[in-house]
Amino acid sequence: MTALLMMKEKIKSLYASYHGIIVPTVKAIIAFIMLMAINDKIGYMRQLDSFLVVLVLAAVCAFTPRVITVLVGLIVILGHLYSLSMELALVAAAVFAVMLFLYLRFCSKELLLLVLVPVSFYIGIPYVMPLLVGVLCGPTAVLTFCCGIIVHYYIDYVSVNALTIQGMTTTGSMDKIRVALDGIIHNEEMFLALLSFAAATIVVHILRRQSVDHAWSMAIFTGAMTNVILNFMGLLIFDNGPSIIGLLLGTVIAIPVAMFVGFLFMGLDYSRTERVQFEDEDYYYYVKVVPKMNIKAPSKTVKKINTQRNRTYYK
Amino acid sequence: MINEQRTRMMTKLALYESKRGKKELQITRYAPGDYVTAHMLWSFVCGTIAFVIVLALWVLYNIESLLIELFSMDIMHLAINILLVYIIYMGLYLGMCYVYISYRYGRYKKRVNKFLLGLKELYRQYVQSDN
Repeated sequence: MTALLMMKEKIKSLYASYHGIIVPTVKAIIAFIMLMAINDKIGYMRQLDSFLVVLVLAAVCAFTPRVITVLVGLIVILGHLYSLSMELALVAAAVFAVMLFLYLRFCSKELLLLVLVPVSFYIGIPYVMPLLVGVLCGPTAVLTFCCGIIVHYYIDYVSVNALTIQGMTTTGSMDKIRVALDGIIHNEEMFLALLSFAAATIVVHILRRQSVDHAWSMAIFTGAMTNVILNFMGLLIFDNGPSIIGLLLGTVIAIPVAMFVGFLFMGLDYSRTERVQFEDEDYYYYVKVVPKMNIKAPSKTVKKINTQRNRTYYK
Repeated sequence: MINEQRTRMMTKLALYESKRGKKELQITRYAPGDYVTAHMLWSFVCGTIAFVIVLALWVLYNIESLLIELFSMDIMHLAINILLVYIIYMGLYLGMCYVYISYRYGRYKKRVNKFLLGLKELYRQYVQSDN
């Protein structure tokens, strides 16, 4: 535990010292993975499906606000869909516009979830997301999270049905629009993911705010179980959903990752809990105080002695 | 000689102004109640645009059956149904927007008031030190 606390302090001091380099680097990495994921799934436009273009766009995203990263991602998706079929791009643009007008204009802080969710699916850790969102974000993040799930499943649907859509040369635009809309209206796997992930996120968020001991750990574990149970129920009812092994493995990986993130952001020492009571003119207070786990990183002193001069270096 | 307490206060005020304050201090431009009204009007426009887009997608999805039944269906009845759906949807949407915007306004106002009190206190300290 001491080693973990020391590591936490080191990470904090590293972040404080190199904040100007770390933040753009992380933003560039997220943008890079997002664009590689999009190109891998639906890379139909040659001009956008280029490593150089991805690098340039990732570099742009590194030094611009988060909303630009999301906009770049959505424009790249629309570009690829347009080169596959104009109708697909039209339906995707309409869905993005509805999300933007109804909800996304309220949540500039959590907008990055719109691209982080598809990225997490691409790198194979989707079950971490509801736990992290529940632990780190507010309740309104659930809706942004759901929008990210819709984006991912629509891209997935297009990539699976791309050959069918490309072969629809003799059919009219209305048929293509109907096929595109089926990817949202009749996508049972997407609805199952929306339900299970949203429920897990809400459960984690509600439980972690309780004043019981080890609330965060309980919240993460209960949220993970909620996700697993709802996915199992969905598999039984719809006969369609994620693979059971993937679900269980993903959950087993997600729980320690979420616990570690919870520890980084809110490591509490429940063994030193104090309860105090006091009153003022208006109220009587019952207060529970739980101190955070903190440790001071030791400072090293390096003394170099030579015959000419004595120099002392402090680290 | 540097006044540590004043420097600390100025740093906190400057930090707030450069980060959250950019968005939150905008409420000082509105008369009380106008902030919520302006955002509700904008929500009405955005909600209507979203409804029109969804309606267009619904029409495109069901275009074949609509064209077949075009001359046999009661268009007035369809229009009234669409209008009812729009009213219910806008009522729910604007209700949720009102709750969220009012809550956000209350939060911003608290922080802006704290910022303005801090500025007043800073000014008072400067006047005191000048005297």
